[in-house]
Amino acid sequence: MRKKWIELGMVLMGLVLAGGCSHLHHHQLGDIDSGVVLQGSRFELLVSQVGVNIQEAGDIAKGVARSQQARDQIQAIQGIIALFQMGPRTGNDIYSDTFADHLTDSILERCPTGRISGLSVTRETAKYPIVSGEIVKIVGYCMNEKGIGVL
Amino acid sequence: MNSMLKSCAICTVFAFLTLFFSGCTHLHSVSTTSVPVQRDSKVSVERSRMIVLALNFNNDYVNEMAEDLARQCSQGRVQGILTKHEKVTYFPLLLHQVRVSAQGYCVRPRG
Repeated sequence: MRKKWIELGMVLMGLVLAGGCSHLHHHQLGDIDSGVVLQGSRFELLVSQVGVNIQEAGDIAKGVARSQQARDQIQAIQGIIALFQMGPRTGNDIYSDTFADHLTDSILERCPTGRISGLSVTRETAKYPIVSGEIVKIVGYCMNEKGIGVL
Repeated sequence: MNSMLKSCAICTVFAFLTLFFSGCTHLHSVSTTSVPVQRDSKVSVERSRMIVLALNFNNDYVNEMAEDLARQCSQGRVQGILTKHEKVTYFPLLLHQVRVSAQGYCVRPRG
């Protein structure tokens, strides 16, 4: 009984520690036209996809499984899944690789004049227990034809 | 016996040196934009955050980097920007620093 409480406590502590943390994977700056950046309007675009940490889900399932046999089965499934997820990656697995494809169109929608500069692209993960937000964020500056911020 | 003690001491010193000086800095990514011909004026900016126990709730500290570079080159364009993202581990799991630095060239209109 006491062992169960300790296990539950450890799972809860893990959830608290892993909850809501943000992890920066990549940040990139584009060329800067100082006039546009200093006098234009700042805009921010964000797209995200839900990521799933199957390893973490399996660990929690193992923690609450009653029999050793069930734990072994979960372990075997985790091993099989891990074989299919080898290789370099950022963040958790997602189920769409096109979620950031329309970002260039979105930038032009936000700044129809096309006078855009100081674009910075950030790839980050907002980490929660089991799931995560796999985020691509773009910050840029826009100017209209008269040289005034348009947003 | 004496030589054994000496070997142990050397091993211990080696282990400590390995622990303190190897694998402390991790380079996550590097990117660059087109490098201009005019490269006489360099501008740079660096942002970093110390992270304790992997608890970090946002990455907003990198958002103002473009503005900082623009301020350093208010009459021109910043080109050839090399952006570097690295992590420095001070104590594994307990304390690390995430550092993003950018350096480029300020190109001012001639004449």
